[in-house]
Amino acid sequence: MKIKLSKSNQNNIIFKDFEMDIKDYHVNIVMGPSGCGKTTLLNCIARLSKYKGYIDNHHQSIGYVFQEDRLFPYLTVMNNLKIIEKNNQKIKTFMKQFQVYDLKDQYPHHLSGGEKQRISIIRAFIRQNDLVLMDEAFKSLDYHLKWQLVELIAKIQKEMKQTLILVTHDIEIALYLGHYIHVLTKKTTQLKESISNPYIHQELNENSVILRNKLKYLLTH
Amino acid sequence: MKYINGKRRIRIVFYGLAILCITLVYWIISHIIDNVMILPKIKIILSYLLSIEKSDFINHIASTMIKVLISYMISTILALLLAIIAHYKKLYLMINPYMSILKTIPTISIILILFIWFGNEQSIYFIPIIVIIPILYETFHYHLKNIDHKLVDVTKVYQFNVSMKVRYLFFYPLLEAFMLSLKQTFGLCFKIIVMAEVIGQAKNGIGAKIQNEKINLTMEGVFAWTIILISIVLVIDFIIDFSTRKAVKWKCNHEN
Repeated sequence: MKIKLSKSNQNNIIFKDFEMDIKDYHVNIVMGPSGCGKTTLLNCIARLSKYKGYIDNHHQSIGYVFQEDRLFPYLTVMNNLKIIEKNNQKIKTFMKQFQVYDLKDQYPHHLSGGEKQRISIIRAFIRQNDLVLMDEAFKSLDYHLKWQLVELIAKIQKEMKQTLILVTHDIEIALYLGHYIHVLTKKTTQLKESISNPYIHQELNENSVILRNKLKYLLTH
Repeated sequence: MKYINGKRRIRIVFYGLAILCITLVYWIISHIIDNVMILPKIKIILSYLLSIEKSDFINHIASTMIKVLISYMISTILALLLAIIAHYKKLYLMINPYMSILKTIPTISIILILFIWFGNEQSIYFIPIIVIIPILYETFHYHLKNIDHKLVDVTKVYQFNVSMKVRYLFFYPLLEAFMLSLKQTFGLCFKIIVMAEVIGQAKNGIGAKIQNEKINLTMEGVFAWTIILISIVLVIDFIIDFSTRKAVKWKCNHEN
């Protein structure tokens, strides 16, 4: 998926001739300093924001895990998922995988931040979407749950072969989950570097530490 | 669940205590005054209540109820249509001043003007419409204006069709708004209809009966029909509460 876009917001130029190449059927991590336009980039890809230029987005269906849960407050968890996917059995399987099946009859108000985020993740993955966008999806989760979900998402992506674009500040998650890691500059946003990650789905080791340090350097300089 | 039941039980006990208190106070004052023309004794009111013929009773209540239902239905439909037009055609700049004016006109002026224009019987249907439309319009318009744009994004991403968008973006929030304002506006509609029946000297209805008893100087009749009116409003309140709990479960669950 090729991206070439410019976008400004009132007096601020967010992107000027910004170019990026998203690798289809892989996990693409987008990293960069706060406020550099990562969420705006996802919104442009999801066709929620207007921009100049083009995004060669041939994907038919998109799933999006927003920073906030964005569940329909007047629907139960089950119904929030049913409006996306009609297959009850599939919903049940996903809910069990994500350990939220007991919450199926609850309304979002009754759920914790982590539970809501898990439902939101299920919603993005349950319909065989070609493209899944995740905007800091693991932010509100505790360490143990976060890694449980990271592993689960890695497994699902491997099975479904979806294109996944994940925005995160967490270098460990980026290294574990991302086939490619794209680092953005501060305003006006440009692509600083795209890195292919050979240490995907591996625990941190001597070699991946070098890459981690490089990422740290790129993000701070 | 036990907690909710306990809470409800406490509410019923306090309700009963309040009724008991007011009955006791009324009983004492009516015995002190001891004048049937000012404050008839409870015994007299009760015997009047028991003397009301069943067919008469049903007739008058049904007559008022039909007027209330028709007026309320028309008010709701008109308020909703106006709110939708105001929201989508950006005509709120034109509609809002009318609503503000309607809200400020005293009810008694509306009653008298409509009686002169349309005659007593027909006007009874219009009076509550004019009073209630601005309230319902404001509720609907506010909720349409404050549709959650984050959820709009969700419907775009997941490619909801038009009927799904209407259902999940508009229907539920409007239902919530309507159900939560139903108790207030329906009770108001009821009171206005009875008042209009009294002032307009309607042929049928609770207001007509109250007016009739007043002319005949039968104070126990006025009190008895007022008690009937209060009982009906309480029953309707209970039905509305029950329906609201069923219709907007997410809200009630959240509040409990």
